[in-house]
Amino acid sequence: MSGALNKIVVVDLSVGVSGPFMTKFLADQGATVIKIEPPSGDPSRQLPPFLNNDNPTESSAHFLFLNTDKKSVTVNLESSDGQKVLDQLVSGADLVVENFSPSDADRLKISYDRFSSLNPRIILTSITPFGRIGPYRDYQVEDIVIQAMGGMQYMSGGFAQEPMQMAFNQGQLSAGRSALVPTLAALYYQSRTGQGQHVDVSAVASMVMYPPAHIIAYSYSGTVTGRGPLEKNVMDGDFLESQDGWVCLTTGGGNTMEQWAIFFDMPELLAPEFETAALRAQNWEVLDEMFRTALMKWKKHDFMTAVMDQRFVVGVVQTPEEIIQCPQLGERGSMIEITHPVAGSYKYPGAGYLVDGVNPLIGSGCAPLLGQHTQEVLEAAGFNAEEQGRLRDSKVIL
Amino acid sequence: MGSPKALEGVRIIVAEDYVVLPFATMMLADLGAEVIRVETPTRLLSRRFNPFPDGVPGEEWWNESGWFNYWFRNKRSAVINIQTPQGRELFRDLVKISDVVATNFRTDVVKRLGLDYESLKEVKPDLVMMNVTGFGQTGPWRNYGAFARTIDGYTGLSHLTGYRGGPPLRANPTYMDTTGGMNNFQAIMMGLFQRDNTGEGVHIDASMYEAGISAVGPALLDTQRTGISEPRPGNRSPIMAPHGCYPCKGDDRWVVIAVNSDKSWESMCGAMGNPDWTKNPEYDSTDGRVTHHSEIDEKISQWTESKDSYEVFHLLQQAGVAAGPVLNGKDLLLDPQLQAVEVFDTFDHDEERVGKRIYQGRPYSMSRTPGSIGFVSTFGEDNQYVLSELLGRSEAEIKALFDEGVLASEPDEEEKEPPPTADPEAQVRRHALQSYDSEYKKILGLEESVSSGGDA
Repeated sequence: MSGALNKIVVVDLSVGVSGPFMTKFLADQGATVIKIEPPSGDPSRQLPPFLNNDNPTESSAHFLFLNTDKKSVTVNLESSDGQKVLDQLVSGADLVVENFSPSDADRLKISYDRFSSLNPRIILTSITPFGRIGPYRDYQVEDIVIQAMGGMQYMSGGFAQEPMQMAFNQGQLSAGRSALVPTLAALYYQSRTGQGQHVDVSAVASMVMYPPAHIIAYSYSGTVTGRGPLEKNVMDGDFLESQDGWVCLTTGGGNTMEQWAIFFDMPELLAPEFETAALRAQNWEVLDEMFRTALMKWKKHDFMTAVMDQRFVVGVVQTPEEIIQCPQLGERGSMIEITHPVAGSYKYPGAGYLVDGVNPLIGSGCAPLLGQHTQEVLEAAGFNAEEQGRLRDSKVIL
Repeated sequence: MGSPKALEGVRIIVAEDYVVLPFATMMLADLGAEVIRVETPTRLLSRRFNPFPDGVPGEEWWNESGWFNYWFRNKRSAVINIQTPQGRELFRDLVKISDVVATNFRTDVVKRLGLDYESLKEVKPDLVMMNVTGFGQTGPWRNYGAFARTIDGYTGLSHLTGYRGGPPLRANPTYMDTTGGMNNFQAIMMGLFQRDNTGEGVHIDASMYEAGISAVGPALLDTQRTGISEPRPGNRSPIMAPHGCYPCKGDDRWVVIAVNSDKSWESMCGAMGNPDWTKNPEYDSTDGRVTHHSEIDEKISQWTESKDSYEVFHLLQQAGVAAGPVLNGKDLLLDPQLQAVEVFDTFDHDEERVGKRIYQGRPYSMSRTPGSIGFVSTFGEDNQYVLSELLGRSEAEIKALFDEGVLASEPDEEEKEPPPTADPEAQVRRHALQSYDSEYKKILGLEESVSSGGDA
């Protein structure tokens, strides 16, 4: 493991998906991430599916994925002694991350002013559903609300059908990815100047950055992007069935209509009624019939390699099982095998890139058991055995 | 004097098109990195993309694309023809004085031009270089091209998303561009940290496909246990009920509602006025509501369809229920919360036809080093800065390079053919677009303000 961030210490107060996804990136790249959990544990420990039904709270697939390489410390922040533990940990950290609601943050006195008076170089990253200011600051979200109010869902799905959410918490994952951007920049600035700051991220605003062209579409030409009729984009993105699953064609770049005409031996594709995307949408039923018949002769990955070897571009809808078996990911070592004491050995997605030809996450550690590192971390922060005993007796730590 | 910038002093050379890498380097540029885009007069590509002002590409359309002005803001434009040997030499000279080089050109193209990592690290040993491709630069799929919309399928997200019982669904054609762009940003930052730690160069081989599978991590773990994947959930949730998208008053208006506990269900019933149908004891538990999800959805739809989506949103939120209107691009621009957190930036472009427009800014604030839009470079605007100030070429040398076609301040003649004009009304008629407001500038407050002549 290259450990690009191995000098950085993070106190992570965030729970659920958004904050933990962000700090997972930091932990995977070598940062020491001290994950403070309430004594009941991060609520994401309760999210199904579970990889070991005999011990679900230690085997949620969400929790295990989002918390690799972190240390778990259970601290009850509702108690004043718990707050003192937090002060001590913040004093030795570079970055604090939290995703409390604005009212919970106020109640628990989570603020940049407090932390920077303890540690002038500290960075605090706050992730809230809507923002720490504004008329909706105290409203609550679930993932689908982020997708809806961030403008993603409106454009997802079929024309005249209900707008469709993306699966697997994309709203909160997007917030985590977005929060990483200013946080890494703040860390880099800190490494050069020694100065900290408060980074403040709104989850709904983060989602606004994702479906990119809808804002400029309105601000340049007054047009509102909706959910176009998917089935009319036969050659421009709709999923079409092959023998063993779904593929999509593209016509972007180059003389692809000619290439398709040759590939499928369909000279009729060169007719004027198929020349532009608009015309193809108008005459989609003919195209639909032609390609559905033609694609039934193919298995999807055979089709993919046959087409892509000729340098034009198609998509294949892969199932999660196919991704695990994927020869491309296999040869690049893109996934990392991690063993967890309760869940067992699984392959996890890697960094998304290789560094000098190697997946930088090789050697990654598993997500922590609840409170697994409490003793180790408190000891390093200067709490002796006696103090720890007292904190344990009063249920401040577990 | 402005605020300090987080990435001030970091210089990045980019050869990039489309979205994935331009988005990543836009974020770096917003944060103060000096990003120099080397572009070619022979192929304008990213300057060709819609939207143009009022759908119409003007005489100098290559400076007017909303797409370009969004993703290429805060980046300097150096028009250097890297198909020529002198052009490639200039590129290498720029690399010598930079921290990072990033490109999303295909691997074989990069190699043919001699702009691959092996060649460039010879002129700059501690270079951070990132190549972004669809599938990575090694492995059996290394030469395969990709668009974000095809990557969505490979990553499994399309398989997992969709209407209940329906085919797979790609939620958005560019989600994997922005997801990949976020990953590319991270990779460059990791490269900089690593270089600073070790003093050595770093090569990053970034794959849109590999970045994308992180969107479905838990599904990838689960399938290794079960060998299957769960059926597409539609707008439902495995742990909440009711959870869905419901019609509201008006054309294509919807509200999403996520009832995340029994208490939340009680609050929802109260907000609806506790109608008789809610008093079914089977609805008291999440399991019961999951079982009867369809009939509950039907009743909720009957309640929502006569109401405004914002009205349902406020009513439910004030009762403590997670809910939200489904907002389109126009709604986002007018939403009071998004205005309060200042996610949008208004930028006044020098090109008269462009003028004042609103762009996505940043979803974050930074108390010490805020990001901003400082400038949008027109085609070749920074040739002089790059050649003279950065590379120290004399006026005579620069003139010679222009004469030899190595530098350019305009696109090649054959590249000047304008992209097609868009007809928004026709696009709405065939449902390629949802709607069109000819008065959009007034709605957004972008019209030239008439001076009252009074107040100072």
